[in-house]
Amino acid sequence: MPPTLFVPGEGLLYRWHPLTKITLAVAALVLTLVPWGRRPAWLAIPLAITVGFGLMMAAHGRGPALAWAKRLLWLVAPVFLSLILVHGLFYPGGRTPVWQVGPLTFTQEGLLFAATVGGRLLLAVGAFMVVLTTTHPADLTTALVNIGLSPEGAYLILAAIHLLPRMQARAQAIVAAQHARGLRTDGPPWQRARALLPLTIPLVLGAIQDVEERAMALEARAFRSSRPKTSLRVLRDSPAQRAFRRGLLLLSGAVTLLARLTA
Amino acid sequence: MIRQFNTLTLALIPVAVVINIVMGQIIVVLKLPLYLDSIGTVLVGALAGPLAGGLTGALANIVWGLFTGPTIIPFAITAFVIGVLAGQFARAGWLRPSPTSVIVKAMFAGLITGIVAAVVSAPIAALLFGGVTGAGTDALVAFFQSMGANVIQATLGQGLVSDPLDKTITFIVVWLILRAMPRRQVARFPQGDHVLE
Repeated sequence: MPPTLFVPGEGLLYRWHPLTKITLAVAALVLTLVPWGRRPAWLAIPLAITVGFGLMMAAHGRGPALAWAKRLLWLVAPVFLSLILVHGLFYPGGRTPVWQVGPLTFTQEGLLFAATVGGRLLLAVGAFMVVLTTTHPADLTTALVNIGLSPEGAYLILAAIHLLPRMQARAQAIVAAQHARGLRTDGPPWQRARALLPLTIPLVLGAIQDVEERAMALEARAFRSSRPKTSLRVLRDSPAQRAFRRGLLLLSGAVTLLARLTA
Repeated sequence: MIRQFNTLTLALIPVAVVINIVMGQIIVVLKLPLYLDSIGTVLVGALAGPLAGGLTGALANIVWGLFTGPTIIPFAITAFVIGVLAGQFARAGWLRPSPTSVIVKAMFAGLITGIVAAVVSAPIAALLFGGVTGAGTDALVAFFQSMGANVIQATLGQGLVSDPLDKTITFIVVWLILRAMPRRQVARFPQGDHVLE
């Protein structure tokens, strides 16, 4: 299996139906619609829920928990830094100065905006990262087929996942081969720009070469048949999980609505 | 519409999705200030049609999200629009070969696509990420804000600086790929006759 974000492990999150986990993430996403920034104390809430997701992951062993935390940090930390610099200093509605560094002034409005967007982002990314870390891509697509995605659609996703490492290896081979012929991929910008076509054209043409063969292989296996298809992977669902999913959506919707009305 | 999705198209789409992703990585090797991550999308749009192109774009962002994280998934909307536009421009004959006058049309198609992509991306980026990505282009957002723009305007400004050039080059590269492909192969795709002379 190519290196997606999935980390093998055991525990409740791994046994749950993918839709239950997706619902959990969607519920968190609905909560991000609350205007947390209107009352600064509320900004602690998305942070607290993200920490909650972190504790959930921690209950599933070191591997998955560390992977989750590392990737979350890796994705949001640079954005946080940018938010604080770009909006802390240059937010259009920024009036109240909080901190002066030489000619630059951080404003209260700007930092509040940065914290609002940052909190929202942290919660949304953290929630979906739980789904991606604990769900095998094949199970994810099987779940999508269960709720109406066509088997052809599932093929498109899974075929792309499996093709990626092969194509990456091919790209490396092409870069090496062109280097061997004297192509330079360093130096001034115009020289690097000139290397673009000798790398792109062989990669794309080589990839398209296989397409006709793949199409014939698919047709030979009755890929376009409209009859029901059996799936190798069978997902376990339960009435309890179905009820949990419905309840979760209702709850998050109600909380968000209430918070918006009272904000 | 169904005709766009013959088996050949369905076999091409995952390959095109991966071309998008791998090209994004080649650009990093070349350290060019471009993305070029929609070559596959534009290619499918040209060969198979607007809907197939749009689907390729959206799918590429979702699949890439499975590898790197969910932050790029919202931009599947932009990628979808890019694929649809590529399909429409090809259908209108803007990607046909023949001398210089026609590559000008392809460049123009790329320029328009880039402007539309910037307009579609701006509200997504402003709403979800406050207009920043954590990369060097954020300095542009800061610059536009210090000139008096609001968050959406500043994000749009940043997009209009980088997207039109990127998509123009993308369309030129795809135009060259279409010329380098064997005619017989191009003609087998649902919209192949629109990109041949």
